[in-house]
Amino acid sequence: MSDAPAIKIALKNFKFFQDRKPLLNGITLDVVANRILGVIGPAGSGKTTFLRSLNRLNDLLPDTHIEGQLLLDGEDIYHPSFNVVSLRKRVGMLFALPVALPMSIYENIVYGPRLSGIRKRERLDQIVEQSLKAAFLWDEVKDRLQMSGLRLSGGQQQRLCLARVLAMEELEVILLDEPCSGLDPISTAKIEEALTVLKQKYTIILVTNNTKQAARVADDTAFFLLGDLIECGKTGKIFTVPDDKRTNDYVTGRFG
Amino acid sequence: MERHFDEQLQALRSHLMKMSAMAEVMIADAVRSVVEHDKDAISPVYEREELVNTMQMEIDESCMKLIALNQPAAADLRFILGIIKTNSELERLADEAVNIVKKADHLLTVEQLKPFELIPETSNIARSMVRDSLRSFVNRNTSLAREVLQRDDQLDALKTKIVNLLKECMAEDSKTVSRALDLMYISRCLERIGDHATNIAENAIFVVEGVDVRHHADEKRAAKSV
Repeated sequence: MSDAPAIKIALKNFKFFQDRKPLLNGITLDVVANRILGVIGPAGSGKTTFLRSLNRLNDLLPDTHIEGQLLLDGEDIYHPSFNVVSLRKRVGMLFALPVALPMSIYENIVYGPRLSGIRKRERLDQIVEQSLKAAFLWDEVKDRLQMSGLRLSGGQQQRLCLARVLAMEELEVILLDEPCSGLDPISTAKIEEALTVLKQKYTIILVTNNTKQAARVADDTAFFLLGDLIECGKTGKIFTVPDDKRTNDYVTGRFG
Repeated sequence: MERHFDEQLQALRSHLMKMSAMAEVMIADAVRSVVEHDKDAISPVYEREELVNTMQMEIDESCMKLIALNQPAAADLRFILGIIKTNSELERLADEAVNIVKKADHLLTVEQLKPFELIPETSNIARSMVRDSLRSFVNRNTSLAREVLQRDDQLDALKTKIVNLLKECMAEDSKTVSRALDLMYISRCLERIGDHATNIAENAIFVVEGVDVRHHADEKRAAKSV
């Protein structure tokens, strides 16, 4: 049996263009299953473009095209026959600002599963409890599930959004775009704690401007600069002995 | 971009340089007191020890603050770790200088045994190792650091030679025991000075290249990866 790590996502010379301008310049990268990949880099480095390419959110932008391949479990997600709806069930996303739906906490969670056809109350109750527990929110809201999600604090709303992502039964990959940028340290710690537990079940990709957050949470870290992947490796190495001087300068705060 | 943090690192480096200059002078004085029978070189060693101890605590405190307040990474982190480790080596170097002058008082009043002839050469090597290891750390010169590592074998060999000759002296004439033990102690101090210099040179390599060469760790790692 091979000891090689399972590759969940593989980019092969993946390029992304908008208005014919390259935003990602031929990225080749393997994302290992059940690990957290931290993605760091200054503004305009392409990290969010990279993240949004992974569940084809960039398709919604005008005048874009891609070159190369982006494989999920070996399947090219940009192949015309690939089902985008099923892709977004498997690859969920959490954004910088929590977007709680204007409905109860309970309804926020079951919104996706209902759309997927789950109707049984018992099953939906189960999903709500499991998802909220996995997002470290259950203990704070279990007695007020019918309260509006909008009445929760910012940190709680972000965990509600995480629970909503986790409610998708097909979920395999979680993408996070600056999920703690507006949160206080305690709320940030709760999200980070949740991620370290969730990686046992999911593959996680975390884009962050907070390099210390990548250092704390990520198993591997990728450094992007001007649309190029400069370096990707074990987080312990990237933050102590990076190979590339540009990575060193960025993680030591010399630019960015 | 010039950062306030860089200024703090520079201040730390200057502080360490002052301490290393002081430790170097202490060793030079201690060696002179023994080799040149210079009594006047003894008391400055004791005086400087106090200063070195104070500096050690100040540098440690600065490093702790820099880590707590800036959470340094990569080259900055390695530099601060290197300073912490070198700081401790310098304090120990200073202690060895004190250990030497403690014995010098007695040695200056008695007739020297023959193996004493090897002490100047031994102390020259030890002093050159200290000087070059500190220079390699401050100037980020890893080839000089590697030269220092090689010199340590020479120093160890000389120390073993001195000890063996002294054993012969003691076997031949029991009246030499006290003087022989003092000389053995001094040669041991000089060997330790070389060990501290070696550690500083290893710190220099770690700070610049990020490679841990202690205990031949780099060679073992390379052998493993083959």
